[in-house]
Amino acid sequence: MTVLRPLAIGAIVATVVAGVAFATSIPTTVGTLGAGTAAVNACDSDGLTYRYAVDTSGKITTVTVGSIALACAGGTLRLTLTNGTASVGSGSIALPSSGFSGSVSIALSPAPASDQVTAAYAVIEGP
Amino acid sequence: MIAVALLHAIAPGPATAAVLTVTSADLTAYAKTYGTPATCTLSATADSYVNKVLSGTNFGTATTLLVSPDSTTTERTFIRFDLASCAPAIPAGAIIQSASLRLTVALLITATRTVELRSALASWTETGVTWTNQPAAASAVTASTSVLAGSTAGTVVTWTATSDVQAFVTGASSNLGWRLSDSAEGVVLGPILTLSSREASSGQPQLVVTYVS
Repeated sequence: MTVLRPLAIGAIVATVVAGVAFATSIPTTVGTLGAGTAAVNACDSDGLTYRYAVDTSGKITTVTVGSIALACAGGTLRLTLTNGTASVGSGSIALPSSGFSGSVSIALSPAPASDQVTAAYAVIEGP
Repeated sequence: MIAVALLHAIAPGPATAAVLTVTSADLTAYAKTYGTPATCTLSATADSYVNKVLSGTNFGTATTLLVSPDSTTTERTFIRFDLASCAPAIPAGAIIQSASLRLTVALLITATRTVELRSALASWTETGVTWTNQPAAASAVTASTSVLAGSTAGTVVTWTATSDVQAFVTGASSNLGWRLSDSAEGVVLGPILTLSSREASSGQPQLVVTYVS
């Protein structure tokens, strides 16, 4: 017993030290964590069409996006062209709240070379 | 017991976090991925040249196409391709990666000239176009290419027509063909650039289009 008692005390002290070291690396901010679901509505469900305009240097300057549902009027259309790994050109435009025809032309910045583009991503936010 | 009490006091309890706020919005998202590039090589469906001094004469069946800046016998070439004959067809939503007009030198070029490509703005026919009734051409030059002195028969000369072909495919402008003319018409005793027409036995004009859809 006299031999075991110092060992037990040493183990307890070591555990306390380890516990202190571990605890100081943990954020202790108090707050709340919530979870839930929310419905996300889409104003268009049947796809878009794209028509490209290329300048004499071979760069895509504008993209005309069509077949946009009239329900999207008042929203914002953002278009991004990629080369498969990164954005090579993008643009956005507000869809008119009134008189919207279902088609808009978006100027791209920067204007990508037409042989760089492998995909187009369009997002309409709102209305 | 002391040690256990300390651990309870300082050990991390259940994970805590700041307030997490999720804002929802109405979103519509689409992704369009383009496939492997396709290449279509077209032969001309119509070509001819016009001559200022022979203003009423048509050269639609000639085996050559002429371009000359000569002030008296100015010559211009007209050429057209049917993009609808590409197989598979080029959809209106395609991205034209490149479009090259390729013409072949038929006779030795004696002087370096710059030849401009412009889209034609009115319809014309191969067997009807003359200097007098030639269609107007766009004021903007689609492409400008130097044809070098010393170029021998068989030398291929190209003009980049990507912007025009893209516009033809989308319908932004009508495909009425192109006009080739010297960049400095009005020269006294100007040289003649002689190219093979679609009626030639070799070196016929081509339009090479590469696109994705």
